Amino acid sequence: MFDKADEARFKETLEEFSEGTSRVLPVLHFAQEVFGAITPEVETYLAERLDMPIARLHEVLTFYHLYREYPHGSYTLTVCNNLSCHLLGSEGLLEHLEKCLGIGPGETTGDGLFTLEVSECIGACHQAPAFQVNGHFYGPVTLAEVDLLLKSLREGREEV
Amino acid sequence: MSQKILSRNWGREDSHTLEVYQRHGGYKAIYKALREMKPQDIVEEVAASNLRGCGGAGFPTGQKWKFLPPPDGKSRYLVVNADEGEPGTFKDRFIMELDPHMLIEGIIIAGYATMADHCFIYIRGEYSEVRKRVLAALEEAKAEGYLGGDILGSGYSLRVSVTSGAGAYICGEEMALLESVEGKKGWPRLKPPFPASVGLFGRPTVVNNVETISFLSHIVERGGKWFAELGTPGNGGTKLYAVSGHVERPGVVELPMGTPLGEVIDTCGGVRGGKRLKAVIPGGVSSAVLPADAVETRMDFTSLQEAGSMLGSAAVIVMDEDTDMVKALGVITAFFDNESCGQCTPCREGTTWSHRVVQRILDGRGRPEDIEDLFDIAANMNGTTICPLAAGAAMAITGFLTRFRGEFDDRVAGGTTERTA
Amino acid sequence: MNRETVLIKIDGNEISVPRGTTILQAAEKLGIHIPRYCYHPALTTVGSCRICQVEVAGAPGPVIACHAQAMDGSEIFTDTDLVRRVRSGVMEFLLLNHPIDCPICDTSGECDLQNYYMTDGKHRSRLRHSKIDRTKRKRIGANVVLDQERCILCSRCVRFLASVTGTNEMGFFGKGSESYIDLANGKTLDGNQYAGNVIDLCPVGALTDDAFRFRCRVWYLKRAPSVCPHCANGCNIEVHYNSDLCWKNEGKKIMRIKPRFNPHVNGHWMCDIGRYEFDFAENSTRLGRPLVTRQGGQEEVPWDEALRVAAGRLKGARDDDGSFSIALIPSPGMTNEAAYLLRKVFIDHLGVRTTGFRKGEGGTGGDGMLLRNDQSPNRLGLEIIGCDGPEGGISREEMFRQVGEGKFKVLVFFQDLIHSVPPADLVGFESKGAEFIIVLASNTSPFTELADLVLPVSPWTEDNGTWVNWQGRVQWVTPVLPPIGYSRNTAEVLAMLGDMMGIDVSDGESTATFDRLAREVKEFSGLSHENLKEYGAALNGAALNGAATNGTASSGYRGSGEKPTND
Repeated sequence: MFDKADEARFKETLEEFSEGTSRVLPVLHFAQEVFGAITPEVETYLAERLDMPIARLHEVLTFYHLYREYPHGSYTLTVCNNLSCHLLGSEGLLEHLEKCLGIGPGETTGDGLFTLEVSECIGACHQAPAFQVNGHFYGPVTLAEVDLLLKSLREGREEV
Repeated sequence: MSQKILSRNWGREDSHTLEVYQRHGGYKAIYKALREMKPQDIVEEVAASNLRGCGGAGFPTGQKWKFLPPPDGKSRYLVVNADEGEPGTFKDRFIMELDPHMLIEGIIIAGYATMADHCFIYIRGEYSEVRKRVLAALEEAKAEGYLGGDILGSGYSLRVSVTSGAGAYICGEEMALLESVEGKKGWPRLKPPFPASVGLFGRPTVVNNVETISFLSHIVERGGKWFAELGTPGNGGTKLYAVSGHVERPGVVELPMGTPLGEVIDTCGGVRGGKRLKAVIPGGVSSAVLPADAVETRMDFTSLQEAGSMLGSAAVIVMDEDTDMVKALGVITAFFDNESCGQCTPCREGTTWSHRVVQRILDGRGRPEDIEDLFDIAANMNGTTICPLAAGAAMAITGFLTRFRGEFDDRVAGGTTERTA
Repeated sequence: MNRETVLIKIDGNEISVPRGTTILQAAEKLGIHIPRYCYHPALTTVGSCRICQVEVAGAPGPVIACHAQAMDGSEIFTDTDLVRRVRSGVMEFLLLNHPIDCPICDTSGECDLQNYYMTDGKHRSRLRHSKIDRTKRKRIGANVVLDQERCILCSRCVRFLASVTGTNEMGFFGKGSESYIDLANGKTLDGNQYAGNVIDLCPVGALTDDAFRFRCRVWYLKRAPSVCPHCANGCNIEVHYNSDLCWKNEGKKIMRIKPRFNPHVNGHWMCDIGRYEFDFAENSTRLGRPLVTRQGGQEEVPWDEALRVAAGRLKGARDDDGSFSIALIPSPGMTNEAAYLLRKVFIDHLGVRTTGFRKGEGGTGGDGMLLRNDQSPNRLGLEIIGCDGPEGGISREEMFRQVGEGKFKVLVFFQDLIHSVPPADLVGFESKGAEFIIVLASNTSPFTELADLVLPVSPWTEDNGTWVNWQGRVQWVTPVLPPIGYSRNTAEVLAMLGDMMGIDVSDGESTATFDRLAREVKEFSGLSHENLKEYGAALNGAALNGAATNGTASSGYRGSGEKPTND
């Protein structure tokens, strides 16, 4: 399933993380980059490449929040809902996004552009309410700023 | 003017580059450490410095290093905990974004002192951009010969790998972190054995927080005694306080260890919008919330423990007079419910149960018995689990219920007796 | 004070234990039972259920007894206010989301949630919201039914399949209270010969036995120890039977079979063949009376008539045509007592020199865990006793062929008491090569149908005698149930036959016969039924052949479809 370039990177990862089974998480991150998600098909493939029982791999996949079984839209919008962000209006931000995009947490817009995620603290409390697009930190954002950002993203004018 | 040790370069342009770091005094300590000192000497200096772990537990670093057995010629590991998951904490992010070389210099010294040959930096998955900064800095350090084989001709070699977390707060707990590095889900291991004897891949391992390690080059340069005297008895040095919530200027401030709480808040501009202070969480949501009148409390490990709370990760969350404390607890219990790893009974069930009770209270369906139940659930979670996550949840719950009982009583007074979904 | 041992006090009782012993193990030595769910002596320790916590003087909080090692001079308390509060707390947490399925759950009556609730819980529910919904009654292969709602996530099943069978069919997925145990994608327990053990391991009704489902409430079951007859390993078992409620199970009493711990043979486990194949012991194919073939078919006759016929035929054949005219096919499933009497009657007295039992035929090796390639429980016993005859034996197939060629006057065939015999072997029978065919069998079969004389004998559930397993361990099989109809133990039948032919043999009583055997056969010398009682005993002077693969550590087992190993 890996093409030639990916195979080379895969091998590099195995070499760097050659001790014990330390390669599992790095390979999963890499595979998610390549395939967009760890679908059941990808999971079966990786279990074989990593020479590990699929039960153990599935345990890892279902444990960690950042691994997904289904692909996200082009942009994953992450809103933190923990305490500092809650104190500074994260609920309002989330509501606004849900209304604008017409989706709830964990869902993707019909045009495949945006996936909305709620997360716990992402270490951006000084930028509360914390907001990430594909892992890039924005914020603090007002609702108006968010609208502008979404517009830019839709028009492909924002580099993320 | 308080000492700026960790944050001294933060205002400089390109502070994250080796060139700027070195120009302002960086990478001097490694010469002293690797060429003039023995590993044991460094351990003694760190012990004398009263440096305490900055990840949350506050364990004296020198003492932790002393648990290591004598070397047996086989691999030993240093693990840098950059998981920074405790809500309200973002200080390690600042270090890694603004001065990664200070961390790297500390890593070299820590590796040398603990005789580790391989270091893993475990960076939380949400910090993908921070990770890029760290990787770039590592490349620079390697190119300069500060990492790799025979560093500075000392005979000491150190390899550094960066591995990413994947979104699990529990992986900030060192026993779970080791499991995660080893490619498994983050289920904390039983202790004993301790990582110093059986750690990563079964080998002697030390796990230290980013901030803890970043202090090391300074302790080497200026001595443990100097560091100890900057702080309070038993709590050496300065401290990074990550301040957020209802303050004018949320951010990370470096102040002497033991600075009073009120001063920490004032350094960030005080309560925002001129509002009155209502409550402060001093050390991340796992620490007991303090009422406004606790502003005199010194922000070090010892004093906060005496005050019935803890310094933890020094994440200061400020709440003003308009804060709904019941809602705030609801946010916190939701966090613990989500982040419990599920391995052991009291935490798995207690975090979810306590959150459902608080949620019911928030939905207007609470009863007076619910508050007693919450105290009880917290008591049954505290000290009965594999790792301290449940104890943190218990401390958070009892803290809120004890200090702000009135708000909870008011909320349940109108509760119904219907069974709910 | 010895550096290798530590002295500790538990609830005021002092005990000295080897260094490294856990508090829980030390308590067990004192007869103090500490509650546990996730702990199991044959599995890794995970310390996750938290119910085994005890108080240790000087410790800052409770410690888990399953993991904490007994430290020299420490004082441990298992019944203080703190311990009771912790246990009650854990019970409450476990029962929070547990469905109270007791009225429909098979595990009721042997459920550790029930048991520890009664001793350490007794709280009233404070739950005021709904319980978590999960999948119920999911068949996951090999007679195992999974109910995820009942699961307390002790992970014993996952650990068993990971470290004992190494087949990894199940996992502990998800996180926090969303955790669940399930089959991994694309996996099934079908094909795992040891799947049934997870049912024994499950402390609650999350994993139940489909073959036992709704069959009988466990408090009606009586338990009797026995040994599994299906292969040369001789796993120790416990037969659970219901003798009170005669309308159940078409009158068959045996409800299920479970492994019995023997550290030298099978540890805590058994395979699914032994666990599930016992229907033949009581089903309608059981023979209850001796049968003689006369015009019109097989007629029931009393024992003494049947034995007179047999004795007459045997003596006649020996007197008229010599002992070479008697074909004898012993069964490697016979007890040593029966084998001894067979030797006395047929080889010593009647002079048979070659039998249809040949040494070295069962094959060596097994699946790397418990199951042996040799599917008979007492081949080694027969070999030692010499049931192949003084000139050595021939294979069963060869014997049938010779019978078919008409070489013999009388054939005495001891039908295997367990397995159905492949029709191909009937060749000798069908061609009626022998004038007179005597079959000793427990169940009807194509053989019994072609026989001239059928003597009904006990299957292992009703038999009393010993077997020698492949390692050379002698184990005593005691009767679980009384005989069905007028069937008798094979040893008794042989004794009666011998008596009828005027041979001095014992009356077939099992212990007396074994004592005679022990006096005459040097490998058995010094042994008696008495000293076989706990875990059996090794044959005299024999180094046991190979170590027991009792499955406590990772075995060589790799699941079905893998080639068995040879040792």
